[in-house]
Amino acid sequence: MRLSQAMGRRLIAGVPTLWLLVLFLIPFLIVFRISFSEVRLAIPPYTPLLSWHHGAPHFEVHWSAYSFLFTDPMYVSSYLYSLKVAAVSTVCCLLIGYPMAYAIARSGAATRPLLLMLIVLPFWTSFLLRVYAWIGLLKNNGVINNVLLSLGVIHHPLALLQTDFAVYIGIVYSYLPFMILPLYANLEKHDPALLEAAADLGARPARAFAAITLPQSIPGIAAGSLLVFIPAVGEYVIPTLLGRPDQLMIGRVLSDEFFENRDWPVASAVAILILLLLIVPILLFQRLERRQLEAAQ
Amino acid sequence: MKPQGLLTRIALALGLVFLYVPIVSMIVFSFNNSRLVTVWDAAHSPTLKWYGVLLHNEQILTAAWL
Amino acid sequence: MSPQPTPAGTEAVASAPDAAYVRVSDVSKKFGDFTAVDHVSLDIRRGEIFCLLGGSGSGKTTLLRMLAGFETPTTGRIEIDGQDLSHVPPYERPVNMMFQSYALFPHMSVEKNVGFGLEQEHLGRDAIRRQVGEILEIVKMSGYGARKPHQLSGGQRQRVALARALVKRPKLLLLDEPLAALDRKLREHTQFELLNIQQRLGVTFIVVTHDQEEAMTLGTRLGVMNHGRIVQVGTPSDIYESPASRFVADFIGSVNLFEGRVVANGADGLCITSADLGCTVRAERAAGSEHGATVWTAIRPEKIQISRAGAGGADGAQNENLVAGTVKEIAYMGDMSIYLVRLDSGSMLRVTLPNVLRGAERPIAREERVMLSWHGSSPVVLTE
Repeated sequence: MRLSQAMGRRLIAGVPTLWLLVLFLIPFLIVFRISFSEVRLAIPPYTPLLSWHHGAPHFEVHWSAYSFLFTDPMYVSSYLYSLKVAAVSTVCCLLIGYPMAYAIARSGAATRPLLLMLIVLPFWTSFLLRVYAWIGLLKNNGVINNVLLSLGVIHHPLALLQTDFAVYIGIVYSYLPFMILPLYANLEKHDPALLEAAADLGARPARAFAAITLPQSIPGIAAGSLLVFIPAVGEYVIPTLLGRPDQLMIGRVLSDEFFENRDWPVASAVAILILLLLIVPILLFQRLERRQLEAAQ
Repeated sequence: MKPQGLLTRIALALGLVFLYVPIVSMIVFSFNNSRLVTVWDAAHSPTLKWYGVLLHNEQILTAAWL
Repeated sequence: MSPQPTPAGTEAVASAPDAAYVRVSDVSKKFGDFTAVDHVSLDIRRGEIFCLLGGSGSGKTTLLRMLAGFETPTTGRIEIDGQDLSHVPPYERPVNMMFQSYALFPHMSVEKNVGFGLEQEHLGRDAIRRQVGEILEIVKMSGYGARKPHQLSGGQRQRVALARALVKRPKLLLLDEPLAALDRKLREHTQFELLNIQQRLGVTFIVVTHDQEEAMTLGTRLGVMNHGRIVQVGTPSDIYESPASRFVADFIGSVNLFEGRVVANGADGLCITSADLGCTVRAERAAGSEHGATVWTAIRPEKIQISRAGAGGADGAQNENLVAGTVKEIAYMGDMSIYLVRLDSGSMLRVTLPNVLRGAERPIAREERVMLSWHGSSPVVLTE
């Protein structure tokens, strides 16, 4: 029996959907469910949702994990701090990445693949090693301080590590290609005749950029910004290695709750709230993708 | 070259420097004799000492093969 | 003379009516070793439509871009209304261009597109709206102000591009292959519309095209370009009836070209023998050439008459401007027919005849023997 075209299509689409279902949706539902429990000394270390008492079903839904998050100031400040760090890093990535993407888009056809490869190449090295490299550069007897001291620019080493500044550098450094590539993909498609037309009509180069290039690059800016912002909110490694010990980002908080406090319900609640926080950016991103797909047709 | 073309090219060059300084510094300091990673031991460097240590480290080698 | 260009639309420096409004003086443009434009000099009068006609690689587009300001001449000068604008950037020139691809700003509405040039002049919003409305009416696109370019058809986009280029009432409007993207019917219609608009506004047009039909219809004067040089300048009639070289004769319309030798040089014209043609040509309106010189004779297909061989008998001695042949191919085009005739000498002659009679009784058929003749004023004698 030959598969009809419709069936074949459903099969092909079905495999990744099944994959997503099993490895994505189900774990999410598990975490969601755990967030409504309370911690206890048992295996598993949280209260069951459904239990039987004297032959009758008994539902136990606890909101204590969530209320705890809202009342303890540490959690609120961690969320806000994470959003702030992610936002600042995104803006920095944009300010640094836009001129770079622009330069690559305008370079000759021969050098462009080389430049793109140079942007992507650091990804082929270990992420952890690159963060450690930054420790080596930023620490008190690290490269930057040694160079500045030997040049006489400073007389005491600058405290660069374990600061917000170090976290920004780390995140911008790691996520810069995520900003550059979507920006490049957008800028590369721009019609150079449009800039000529703008100049012909009286616009100086800066004005032509602002009126013609910038508005057309907004989808690229949005895509790059979301690709940086969304994962940056939950960053764990960079703030742990480079960041302040007194102000944690939410990824670290979640890990501490889970592994150190063994408080699975609270950890799950933290995770669910991160997702809620990011729903708006994620939906924006999806809408952007859909609009770009439609425009391409 | 138009002025705005030059500016963005400088930005690109600086950006690439930013991306590669940590990687290059790691490579340079792998030849450093001193145990203090970032303090260049001029008297005894450059050296392949640490590469030798690597090749004898069982844990890392088995991890790499996996 | 101040190098500052006057803003578009204001009164120009008073110039004599015959004086060149646009003067290109010995302009060359080299890209490395390649010479795109080779010592071109042109005078273009105010209010005329000048067409630069040439094939690809002829340099016409490069010349246009230099007029617009997107390229600067390697040598030479470009003056517009008395001002030297050779090295002035495009945003400071009183020149506007209509691009071949229209180059409409995709993220702006029609109104914003057309008003863009006015915004750069920092005019008030009301003034802009009024002027945009006026120009849209002239190009018959009123009411389309809110649409975006992707919501318009090709012809509509072209009119918006035209409006955008005209709204600033520039001293010079450059058009890059304006009719290339249009289909046949639309092309004809647009040709006349362009003429209309130009007459109405009095703007000086310079059109670049590879389509000689376009050039002949639009242009008040044509400049034919080849390999970066201007080969001939003149009215469409001048260029068609009196081409200066074989290249021009062949480039515009169809032509029959034959090599020959001058045998007589008299007051009543030149006498040329041509083996290719197989007869003697008497060219009445030909300049004196040396006896024995090798020349080419060009005869346009529509200037040749066909008659059946044998009818009326041979004229005997007169073997001038008369030759016999056999009809090989006939192409019926509706309004006219094209005949390809193989001469006794072996060459092919192309003849066009209008189909004057509806349903002619015995039309000339293939393989018929015919006599071809032409008036003495028809041949053009070319020395290059």
